[in-house]
Amino acid sequence: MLNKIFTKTYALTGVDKKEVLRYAGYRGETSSAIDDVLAACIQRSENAFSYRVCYAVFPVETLLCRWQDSGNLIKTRLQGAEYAVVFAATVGLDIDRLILAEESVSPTRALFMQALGAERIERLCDVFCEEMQNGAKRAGYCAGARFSAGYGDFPLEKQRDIFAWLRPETHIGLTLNDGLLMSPTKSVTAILPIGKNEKNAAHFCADCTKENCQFKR
Amino acid sequence: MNVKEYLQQNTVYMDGGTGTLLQSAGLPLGELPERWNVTHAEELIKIHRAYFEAGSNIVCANTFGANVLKFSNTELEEIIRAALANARAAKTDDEKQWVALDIGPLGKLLKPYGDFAFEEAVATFATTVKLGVKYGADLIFIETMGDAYETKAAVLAAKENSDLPIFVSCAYGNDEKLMTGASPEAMVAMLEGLGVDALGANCSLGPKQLQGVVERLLKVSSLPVIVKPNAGLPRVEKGNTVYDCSAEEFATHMAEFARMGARVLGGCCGTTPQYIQKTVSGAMSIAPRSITEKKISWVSSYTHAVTFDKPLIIGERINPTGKKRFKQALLDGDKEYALNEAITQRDNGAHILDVNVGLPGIDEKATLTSYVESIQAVVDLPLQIDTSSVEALESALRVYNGKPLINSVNGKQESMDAVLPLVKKYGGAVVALTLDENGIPETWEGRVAIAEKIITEAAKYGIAKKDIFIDTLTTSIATDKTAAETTLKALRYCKQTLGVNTTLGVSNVSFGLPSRETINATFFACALQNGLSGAIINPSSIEMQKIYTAFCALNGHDTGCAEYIRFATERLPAAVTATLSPSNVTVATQESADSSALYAAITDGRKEAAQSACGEMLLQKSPLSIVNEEIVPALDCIGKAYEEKRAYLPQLLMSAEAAKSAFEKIRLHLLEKGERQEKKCKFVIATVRGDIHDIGKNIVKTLLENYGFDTIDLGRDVPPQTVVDEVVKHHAPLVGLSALMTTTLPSMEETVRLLKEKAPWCKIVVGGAVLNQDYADKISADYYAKDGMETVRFAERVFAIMQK
Repeated sequence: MLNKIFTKTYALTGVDKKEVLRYAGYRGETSSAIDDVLAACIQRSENAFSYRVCYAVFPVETLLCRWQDSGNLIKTRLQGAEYAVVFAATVGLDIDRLILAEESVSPTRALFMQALGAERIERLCDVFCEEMQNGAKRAGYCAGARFSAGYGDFPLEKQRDIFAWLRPETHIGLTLNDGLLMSPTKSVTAILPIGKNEKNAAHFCADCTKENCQFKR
Repeated sequence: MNVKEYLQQNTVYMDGGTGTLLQSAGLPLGELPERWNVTHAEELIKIHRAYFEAGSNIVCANTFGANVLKFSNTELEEIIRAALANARAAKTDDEKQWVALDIGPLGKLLKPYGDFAFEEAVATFATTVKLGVKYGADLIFIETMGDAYETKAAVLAAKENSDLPIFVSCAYGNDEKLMTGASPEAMVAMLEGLGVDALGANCSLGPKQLQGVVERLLKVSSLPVIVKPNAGLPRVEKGNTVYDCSAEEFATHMAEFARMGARVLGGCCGTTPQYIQKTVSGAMSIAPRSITEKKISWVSSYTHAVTFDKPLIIGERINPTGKKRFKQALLDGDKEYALNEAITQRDNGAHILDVNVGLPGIDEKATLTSYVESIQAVVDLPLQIDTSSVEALESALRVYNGKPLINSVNGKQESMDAVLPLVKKYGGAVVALTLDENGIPETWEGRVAIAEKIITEAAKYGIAKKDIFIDTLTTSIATDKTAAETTLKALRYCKQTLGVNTTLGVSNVSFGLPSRETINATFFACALQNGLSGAIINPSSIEMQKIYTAFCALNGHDTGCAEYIRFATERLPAAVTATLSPSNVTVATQESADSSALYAAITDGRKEAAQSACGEMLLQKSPLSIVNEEIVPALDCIGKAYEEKRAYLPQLLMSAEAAKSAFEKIRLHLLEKGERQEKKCKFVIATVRGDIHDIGKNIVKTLLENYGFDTIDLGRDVPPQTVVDEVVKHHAPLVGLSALMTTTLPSMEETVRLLKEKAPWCKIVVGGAVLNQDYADKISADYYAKDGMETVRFAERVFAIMQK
């Protein structure tokens, strides 16, 4: 079985300011004051990110067998796929430190640091998934859309399985607490289906049941 | 012979990977390998024996993850007993073979970034250590640590529950840091202080990639260095996973490490008995390099060590002496003031921060400990823990994440008896005041004599001169014209003849004189010239910084005068501009026709402008009317815009910050007159147990404070009972609870239930991403607020009813 755990590190640049503003709950034209705060946050956090991913590749049957009674989403999403990349990604603890420091100095900057962290981890996941997609293509496969525990009816408790398999504590310094929250907070675990007929897609708001979400794309 | 004695003359070989071998022996995915100690003892013995036969002196029992978080107490005992028995059964020789209790990370991040308390971690490790001792481990090997703080918890547990040798090895990444940021130097400073027997690096990388870390460790460590790399990096080859470093290549690198001076060699993931066998035969002929005392004077934080190879600045601002505002903040339990000071001092060039919270009427032990925890969470500078309470000192030293400076011991026997053992146990450096039972000697010779006494006494505990900072005590020249001369003569003697470090609280010299900075700066220059190592000063003082940067440049501590040039071109002009431009200039131009400068500054979210406009206004208007006629209407204006979606969260927050800075001005104004700002009622606010996401709660708190509520912020991950206790203690009429995750909703429900029972008078408002009206109704909360403004409106209504 291909379940060896691999670790990757990245050097990412180019913050998508629009995305950061979206995560900060901002819509519309920005003022120079907002631009200044954002620029200051980007500058302060310049060296704060350390992009790390660990992952393992599983045959889809293994996952479906483990997660027999884990709702419909997992079945639909893995239907037709042959493999699944299970991964854990984090941008590291420094951004949590910056957020905490800003909370006692400037709530606005704390908000933007949060948003920046969210943008960075999503970007890391995008880059990693794109890399997997390219690798899959070379082998005549295609990657689908990633999804995570807690999406739709796929229980958040499955985080425990993902952590047991990947052991991200040792590989990338990512931990899970009893309430199923991850530390560092700017982290993601997800599953990326790989198959012959997968449709390549980024991410979906459609999986989410939350109504009136201000972050909806 | 025990392993410590053997290590003095010999290179010690450890074993290689176990996990890989267990997997190939059939350990299924996700199963805890420690269970195999009991169920597959013969497989374990086979693996251990193969390592002993390959030449390992130390074999690690299969206890990496053996702790009470993963196993019940009964099972844990059985697992550790079996693990050590298996390893012992595998021995091929009784002379040069030892069995280690292997301790890996807990898989939990410690508070405040995770949810696991430091003392909980110590207790968890302690259980494993005690069982290891009971079942005959020869040493304790703490390995693959990715966090300095957790490493300290494990070492304390090992030291407090055994006399066994302690080896500590950490997992460094490509960036030559631990996962949570510590450099090799920071780890060496802390671990040497804590008194471990060997330290080093393992896992995460192959020998080639670890080269840089090993070099850095060898350069600074006065202890034997352990190197236990992976078999390179994994990659897939024809469908199989292989490590890219062969046994031969591995052994070549290991031989090189031995030549460089590493004294404990082994392998980690992907290495097999073959790797060890080749390593042993490759390094056998290399004579072990002797381990030299590096005599580095340093202290460390959780990220880095600072070395006294040049004078360093110790920021003095976190100390209530003579600071009304800080005293008030301490009494109010408001940490923001100190955290702001910490950040400002760091930004202004402090290398170390002094932390003193001594004030009559406060619980110094609890306060100092919690300040140390909070400050080290937001600032990565080493701390100088400053207290005269031994109890407070020990408590703060335990939770400190690094090697601290301790302020202080003095020449009184009582002080030395109490403080020096703590310096030794927690591995700090210590400030030693040259005073004793007879007070401060008037002569420099008298002060030197006390310094010598303390140095001799410290040596009895094994505290080296490099870790002693003699303070020859600055007193004012206003009352004694020879005061400065006495201090400096003693200082020079201590530094040059006694060979210790020195420190001074510089600014006392000018007490009682006008234009104090002139005297302070000149005295500072003299002290530096006479050998001052650690200057306790205000780093934000431009006069002091001028002296410091110029001194460093003149004395060859500043390559290419880079620091000096940066200071002269960036900070100096900024400071000059600030003093030349009156603060009201910018505000006046922005004032519009129909609203005051303060009102406009708040609605526009301009912090500095709001502060200066408020200062101007205080000359003409009463604080109360400023609040009611300017600040609150401005907040309402932006709050309304937010509710109507004409403004967004960042703007609301910027206005809130601007209002806050205006309030700060008013608070200072009132303090000057000995008055306090009137507040509305108490509002207890918390993020519920299990939840560590608290940005929403913090936004609500900021808004509530602006509207005059006396908020008591309990932080995040707060147990239901704590919320209830605080509400009851203050008889608070309002409490706000937030939760972000569905998994933490049950703890919100429990908190509400308990509140209803124990504090029925209190109105409960709930909020957070996963909350909605239905759920709030279901758990019988009094109100669901969808955002911060709604919480404010609700609180105002409750307060209005109370007033009737």
